[in-house]
Amino acid sequence: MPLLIIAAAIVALALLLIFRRTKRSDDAVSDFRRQINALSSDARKNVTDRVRQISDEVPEDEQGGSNGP
Amino acid sequence: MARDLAIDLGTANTLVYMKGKGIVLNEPSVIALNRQTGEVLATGREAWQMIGRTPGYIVAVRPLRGGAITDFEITERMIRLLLQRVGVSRFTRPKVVICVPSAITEVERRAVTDAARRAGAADANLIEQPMAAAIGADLPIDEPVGNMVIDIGGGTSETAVISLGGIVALEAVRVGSFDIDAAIQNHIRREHGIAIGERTAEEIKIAIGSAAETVDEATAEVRGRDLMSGLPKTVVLTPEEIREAIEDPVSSIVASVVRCLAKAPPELSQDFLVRGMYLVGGGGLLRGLAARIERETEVPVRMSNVPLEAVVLGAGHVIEHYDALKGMFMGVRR
Repeated sequence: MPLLIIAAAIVALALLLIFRRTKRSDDAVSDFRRQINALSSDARKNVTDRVRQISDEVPEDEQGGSNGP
Repeated sequence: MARDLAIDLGTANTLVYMKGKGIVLNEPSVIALNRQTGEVLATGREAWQMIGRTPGYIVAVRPLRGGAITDFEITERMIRLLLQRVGVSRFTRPKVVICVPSAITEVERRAVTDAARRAGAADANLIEQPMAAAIGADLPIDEPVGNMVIDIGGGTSETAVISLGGIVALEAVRVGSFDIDAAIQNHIRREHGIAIGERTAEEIKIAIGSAAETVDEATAEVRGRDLMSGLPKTVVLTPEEIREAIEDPVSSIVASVVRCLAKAPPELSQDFLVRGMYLVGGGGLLRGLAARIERETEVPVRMSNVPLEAVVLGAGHVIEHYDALKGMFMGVRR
């Protein structure tokens, strides 16, 4: 009987470890996917709009390289 | 509830992006202090106008050099005042993302985050300037293709190859547009015996400075103090002599771009020939610089539509998608 309990505990522990490892690798995959999606051009539409807005405001002949206003 | 902020803490200018609002502040990274009492007299544009024109008891300084904090206490006070100006108070502590040069040391990183936390940020994270610039310049960095970005700031120049949301190759030098201004100052002192200030040197660079021959070249008059007599004196400068004077910093920048190209994996290298490299940062506006880089690397160079704002817009995008992009912070990478 005690042997059976020990064996069951070992199996449960092994299953738990396998589950946690799979979950962690799934997390890494979904985090990476989330990061890539957040960098996509659709997600960056706000930035694109702001770029368009700023470049419309700046005169085309602004040249020279400035460290100040 | 405070709105989270993205800060481009540059050697020359500081830009602040507020979540949901866009760029809310764009000011020179300058602070003016009373030498005797240590009180802050002005920051930003107002302090910039004081550079080289202050009485003995006032000092107008740039607390960052080469992208790094040279005076921790003054930087902290400058950040605190800038944050106050965009509505951060003791009771509203926002999350802050700060753009820094990728080559800064661990000690310098800690100095920036500590300064931001002490200045009122609830949490401060750092992101590399070239990465933020690539996001802000709207490059397709989510795709498995080579994107190359050259960010030339006041104190540093960084070139990075970015693919699939990460930096593949990087090359940074602590040379920027301030070094170009300093080269002009030294040349005029040495060759014409005139002392000029850093603002005058910058004006000369904007008026006639170039990295390669351009079509519309003209001479410029400069007024300064004669080193022998001490009297005001005027001399005429030509674009060729300024080009020669700034050759050292310009060639250092170009050489770092070449080194970065050499580091890029061959699969990505072929993408550059088609897609080109993107130039951002105020230093990238130097006349003829894009043409010079293009000539020496044989890779097309394109100018970003928003060279001065690309970095803060990129960091702003990160603050808008904080949870999805927090893996991009320096020191947190998976």
